[in-house]
Amino acid sequence: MTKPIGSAATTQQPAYSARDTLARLLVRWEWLLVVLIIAVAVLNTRLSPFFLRTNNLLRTTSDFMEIGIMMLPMVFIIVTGNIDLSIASTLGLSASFMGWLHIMGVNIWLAATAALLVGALAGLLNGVLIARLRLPALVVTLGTFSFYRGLAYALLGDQAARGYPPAFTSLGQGTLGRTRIPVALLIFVLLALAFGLVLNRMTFGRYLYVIGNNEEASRFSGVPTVRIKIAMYVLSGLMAALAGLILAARFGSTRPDIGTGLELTVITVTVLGGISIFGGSGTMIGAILALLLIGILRFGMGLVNIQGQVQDIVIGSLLILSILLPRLAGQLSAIRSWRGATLGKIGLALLVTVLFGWFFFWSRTLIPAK
Amino acid sequence: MFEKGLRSFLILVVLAVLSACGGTPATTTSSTATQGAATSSSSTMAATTETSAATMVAATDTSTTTMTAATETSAATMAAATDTSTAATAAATDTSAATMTAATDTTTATMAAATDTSTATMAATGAAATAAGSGAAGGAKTYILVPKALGNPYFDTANKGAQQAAKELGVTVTYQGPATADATQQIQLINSLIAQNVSGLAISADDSDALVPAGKQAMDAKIPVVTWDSAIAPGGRMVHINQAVAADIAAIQIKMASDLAGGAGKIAILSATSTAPNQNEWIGLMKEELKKPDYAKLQLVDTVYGDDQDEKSYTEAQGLMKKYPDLKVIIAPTTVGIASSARAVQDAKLVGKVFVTGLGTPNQMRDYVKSGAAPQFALWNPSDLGYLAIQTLDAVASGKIKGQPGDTFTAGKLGSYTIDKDGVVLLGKPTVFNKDNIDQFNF
Repeated sequence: MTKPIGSAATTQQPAYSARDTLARLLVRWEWLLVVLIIAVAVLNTRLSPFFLRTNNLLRTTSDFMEIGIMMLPMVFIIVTGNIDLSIASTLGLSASFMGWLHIMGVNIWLAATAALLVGALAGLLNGVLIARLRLPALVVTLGTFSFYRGLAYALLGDQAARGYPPAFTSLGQGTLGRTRIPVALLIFVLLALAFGLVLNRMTFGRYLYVIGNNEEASRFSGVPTVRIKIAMYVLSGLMAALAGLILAARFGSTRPDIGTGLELTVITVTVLGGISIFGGSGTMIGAILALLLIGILRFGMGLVNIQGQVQDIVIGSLLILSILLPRLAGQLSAIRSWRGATLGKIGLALLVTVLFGWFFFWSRTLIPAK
Repeated sequence: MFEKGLRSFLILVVLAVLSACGGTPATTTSSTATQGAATSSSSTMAATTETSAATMVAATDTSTTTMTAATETSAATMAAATDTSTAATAAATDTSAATMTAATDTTTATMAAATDTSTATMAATGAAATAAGSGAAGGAKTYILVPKALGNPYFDTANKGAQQAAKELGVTVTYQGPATADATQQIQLINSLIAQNVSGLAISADDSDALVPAGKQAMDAKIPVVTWDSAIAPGGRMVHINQAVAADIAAIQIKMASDLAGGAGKIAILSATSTAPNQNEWIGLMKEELKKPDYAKLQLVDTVYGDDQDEKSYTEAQGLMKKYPDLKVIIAPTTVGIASSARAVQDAKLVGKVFVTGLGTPNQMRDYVKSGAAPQFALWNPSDLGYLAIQTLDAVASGKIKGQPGDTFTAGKLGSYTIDKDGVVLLGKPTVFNKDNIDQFNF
């Protein structure tokens, strides 16, 4: 990736050194995730004979694809230092709208297209309020979080839309041809590639980082911040709608409460992926690795029957560690004698792994022996 | 940076796929013989830490197996996997642990016989040991009782009954549910249970429609699925255990009211909302029931609606007592209304003059039962519900019945049950709670 500032400021300019170490640290964050993924995978394999089975691994991906799809635009949004709390509600609204149309007898594909449109519109409303009217993203999306979910309830009430045709439900339940690869996984992989390329290779992506680093400055240097932010929220709404379709297909039905609470998981994964909540840094690879980590972590804990609440504790502490560690490591590497030596960071990574492993075994003892 | 990350990611994926493909030699489709095939790739780097980890697992599992009298299949397979693979990597300490497990575990007979098909042909990163152990082949079955959510006394009580059934049947029942009552989480849980190849699922569904595909997947994987308390729509389960039918609920409430009124006098109904389908069905049936000659002297004077709000129900109950000074009984077929009415009676100092009955839960009604404001009320017994769910599941899983309409089976202490034409088993008459039995219940 091109980061001229970082590479130029290796030795002489002390003004840049802090940023330099930070940048290098972020490079390392992905590696820490890789280490964690390997550690969790090894642990899971040790703890359960059912973990390393292609069938099981592929099936469990379906539990995380909606999260993954919504995570992609969330990376964009958080990179610019904004947030979108309304995604799960947008998901619910779009899926409910599709269900409502389905009940009215509209063709399912037509209904699905309309649902995508509704999602994009929901995103557009967010974008206009935030970018054009300069309202704070947190408050706007907190508002639409309730608003969109309320609309979903208004559409379907306490009834459920059901009886989707098999061609549609295969979007969430089906596999590719004769292979065992879920359709949803393929959709996610393709989208992830596209979003990754946009973030890393295109001007649009670079502008996102620029906005995240200093929005005022970027506006004055001619970056079309308003347009970019609106586009980013429209994308977010669109992806939430797509996730809604896949979730509805997976459920084979829609209720207005569909996907409640997913926004927090999505934000958790994104932040765990090393996307700074203050904006300006983070990579798509990091977010995808974090998704993989959460996925195998949840699945592994499920396999050894760790209670749901304990799983939440694990994920929660992991998130806290993920924002605590870079700060801690940043301070440590600011000490001159440590500079250049990766020993400290490796040590920290090891410490985390060990702590994590210890926690994993400890949490296993929490399973009540009945 | 991007390329580097991508490259390493790809390598990781390739490695994972390699180990997955190389590790499971056609075990997935073939039947019970090699069900619990375990694959474990261990790199030399992590060998030492893993060994200690394995010993830890072995140790904890031994304790659990002794406690559950060698019935915990998943633990057994787990131990099998770790022990054999570490034996392959020549860890001397683990052998003792393995023998320890062997001493206490009855399924070790099959475990020891597990063929070590070590086809260690992995890439340069490390050696891979593959061990196949048959886990679920033995007699010990593990059923999972899945509530709507954990931490709810109602479901915890159901689990008590389920554990009793487990003891009687000689199986293990694990109580495992989502952290919150949410269909997405419950499906995720069910997926991981399917992956573990458990012997059967008894589910209280968070969403009757959304769980249909998950239930189907389980049944496709030859895991029987029954539902209790809250059904999965037909197609996603084999049998549903229904806690009560409307006619019985109506009949028991009229009977309790008649008992409390001494067979004659004015009674009134305090319901939830005027549109609540359950309550309206019950009220209709109660009116039918009152036409019976036994209840000829009971006079239903009014039906009011407290909208399932505590404050409104309380006011409505007060209104009833003012309007009908000689009112004998208030029937509240709703858990909100019954508690509010009982409180209204107590506050009006009319205990012993006006009685409250209906549907409620013991924890909420305990004080009123003891004070005499609501001497008896009814609800189904969740403990029996959990008991029957496991009994039904076992009957299906062990092949005693197919789960078809018309099938008859014996459910331990509860006696004989028949599956009706909708694939539903009815628990039975509601349980009446009074001061003699209320302290046995906590939900």
